Amino acid sequence: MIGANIKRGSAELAVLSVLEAGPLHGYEIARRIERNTRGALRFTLASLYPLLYRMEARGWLKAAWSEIGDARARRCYRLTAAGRKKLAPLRKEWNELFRALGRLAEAHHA
Amino acid sequence: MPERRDNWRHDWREEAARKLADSKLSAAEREEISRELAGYLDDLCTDAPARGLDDSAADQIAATQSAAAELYEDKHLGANLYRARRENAMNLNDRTKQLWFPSIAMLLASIALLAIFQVPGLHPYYSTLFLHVGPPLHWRAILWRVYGRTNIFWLCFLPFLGAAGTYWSRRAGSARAMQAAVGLCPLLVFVAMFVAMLHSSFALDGVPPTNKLLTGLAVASLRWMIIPGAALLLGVLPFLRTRSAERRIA
Repeated sequence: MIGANIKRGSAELAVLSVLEAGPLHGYEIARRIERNTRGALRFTLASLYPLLYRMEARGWLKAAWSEIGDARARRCYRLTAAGRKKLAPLRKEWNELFRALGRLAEAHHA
Repeated sequence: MPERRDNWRHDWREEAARKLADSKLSAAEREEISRELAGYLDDLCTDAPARGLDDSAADQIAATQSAAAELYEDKHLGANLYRARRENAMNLNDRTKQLWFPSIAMLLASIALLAIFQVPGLHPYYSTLFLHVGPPLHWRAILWRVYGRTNIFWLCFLPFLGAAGTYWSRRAGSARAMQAAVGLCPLLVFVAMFVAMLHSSFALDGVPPTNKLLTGLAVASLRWMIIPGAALLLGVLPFLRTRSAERRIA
């Protein structure tokens, strides 16, 4: 299980990554992240919505109400151009961090 | 997408609205957020079979309790949502925080300080006293033109302004080049003004580049660019050196 601080830092990357494929509503975002990370990252309502609103306020996401399924309205989030622009450097940063940690772990074992 | 099952339904909208009642959110925001959170909780309940819960009454209660636990997990949910919604008003984008705000503030501070020192007539009489006994006459003339009209008091503050701008930009998480640009920002404006002045003198007004004019420009560049630039750099460099040292250690 990944620690809380790392989770917090990676949360933005997780949300941006799952929204790269297309717009999703809050519950579906949480479910996709949980599924794609095989349960390592799990959002609850209290951790997801402040993050989504913050990202929306920063202009990385745009939300709009839309009807899904049998006339249920959900607020769906999609990536904005700014969000897409943010995703690439975020990915790079996290890849670098994990590579560095990997090297550190290997050095420790050697 | 979870399959809709009406027998799992619960009035989450009203419950979410109650949960947010004490927050500073406006009525319209509370209404919209409650609606959104209710949708999430509704989906969480209808998706319960995917998590191994069946249609039995006990499992429906368990699913509802699990959803309620998420709603009530954070005592400060309303406050957190309120802050998150207003982040844009408080947290501007990175470039604004790292570059524009500190640059403009440093520039205005620099201009304000110069004006403050000029208005009460704090001219640098004492700082030029050495010219009366020091260097040979022609050097005294040049130095007088440079120092005698430059506000030394203002120059003394420039390293602090450079340091403040660099520190501000660094705190906002900027790269070193941006930190240096913020620290040297007042200078960049002087350079721009100087280039504009040159362009205006030589290109637009057609003033011939006489020796006297060129000397005047050289003195002006010393007074308004090179010396203030060095003063600002004095404040900027320690921060950039610290970052280099940190990187070496890392």
